[in-house]
Amino acid sequence: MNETVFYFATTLGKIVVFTHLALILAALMVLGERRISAVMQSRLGPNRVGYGGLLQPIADALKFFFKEDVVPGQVEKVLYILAPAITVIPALLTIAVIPFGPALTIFGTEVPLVIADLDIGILFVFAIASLGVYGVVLAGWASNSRYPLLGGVRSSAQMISYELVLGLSVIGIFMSTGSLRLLDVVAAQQDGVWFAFSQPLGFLLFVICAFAETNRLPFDTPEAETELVAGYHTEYSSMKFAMFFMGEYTAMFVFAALISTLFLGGWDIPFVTAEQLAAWGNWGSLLGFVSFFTKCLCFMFFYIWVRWTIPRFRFDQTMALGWKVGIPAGVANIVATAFILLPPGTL
Amino acid sequence: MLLDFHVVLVFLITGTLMVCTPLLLGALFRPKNRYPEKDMAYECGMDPEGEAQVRFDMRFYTTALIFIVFEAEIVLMFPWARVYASHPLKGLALVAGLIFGTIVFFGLVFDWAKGDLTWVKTFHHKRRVQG
Repeated sequence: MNETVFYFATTLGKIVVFTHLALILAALMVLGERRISAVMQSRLGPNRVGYGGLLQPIADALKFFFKEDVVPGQVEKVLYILAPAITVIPALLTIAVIPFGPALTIFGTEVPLVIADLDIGILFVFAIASLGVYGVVLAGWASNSRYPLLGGVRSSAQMISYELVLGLSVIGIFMSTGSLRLLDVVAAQQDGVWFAFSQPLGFLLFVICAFAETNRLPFDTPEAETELVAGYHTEYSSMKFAMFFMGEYTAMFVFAALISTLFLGGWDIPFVTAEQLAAWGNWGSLLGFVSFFTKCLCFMFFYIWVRWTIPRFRFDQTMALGWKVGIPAGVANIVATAFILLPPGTL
Repeated sequence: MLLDFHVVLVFLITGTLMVCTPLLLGALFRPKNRYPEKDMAYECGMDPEGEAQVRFDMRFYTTALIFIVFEAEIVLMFPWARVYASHPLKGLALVAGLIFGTIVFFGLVFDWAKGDLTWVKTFHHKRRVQG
């Protein structure tokens, strides 16, 4: 009885804490992006609300909350309202399988810092994350307006193209770990080298896909402001617009977390073994948690850095990179990994 | 194991609630001020003309079609990768994987040669395909 109550209490606690952590981080990311962009362009950025503009996300959220929700007359109501929700919910759901740190010990019971420890972790991420495309397509179609339709169709074509490369780029990892569980992937990296070093090509492909899947520059053709106004969310306003924003930034966090987990050792700290970390008990868990988040934050800074470094690709260039470079490179990576993993003397 | 999927279900419900609450709650506070100009589709100040849901480019359809085929093939690679790590006869597993991979890759080469992967088809390219 007590164990069941404890299990449900911790699980619910983890759900609440991790989702809010992701949402707060997404909100801070919006602020961070505006401030860092400003620094890169020698201007100030939002710095008035709170210390250094720290409360700007709250001010923005309140503003979205109290703005009129304009629903233009020509839209297809049901799909139009559903679309923002379909964008946010999958982005949030993928957090479920991401391990945030080593297991905590609460009242003598080990509590792993992952919401749902699924055996098929990575397949769950891909299955759920790809549902996000529906939000984009429905938003574009249901708006019944020209620019959103173009943006939605472009966006979906780009996202599905890079999903193939995304799938191919991680297979090399699972050929060496032999498990699709993300906890096992982290454990494999704690004892050995990080997969960023043993799978450099897969790492590069995954990073490129992270940019393309989240529609970030240099792959932001779907919402290319100069040609498509705002792409698929042109006709959205108020809280619904905020939902698209939230979904986009949560997805960015999820990809940063996935890259940390799959390629940068998860919560692994360089030169500290798993036993040493475990010997520190709950403080070790906290240290691992901090290490994981440092990696995520570094990658999120990388998103912004790239944004102001590389100009937008043309749409045909984006598609060519995905299909003609990405997929052959992904297949080559798998074949090379297979040969490297062969025990000596097999051939 | 099944219990973990229950957790996902709980998470799904929590997530849906978190998304719907601000949408519904905000409706109580928001101003409502509709007029005909606001009801129009946004086209940079021009009056929209005709249907917006026009037929779009064929190339998007082809891309989606090729995607479905390749995605199914890539999903089939995951069980192979999982087994490959601990397979006692790695050489055999490699040959099996290579046969499958070659078929997939030939599919890609075929689409490439047909020009389905080329987004911008030049006049020169078209002539060559038609022979």
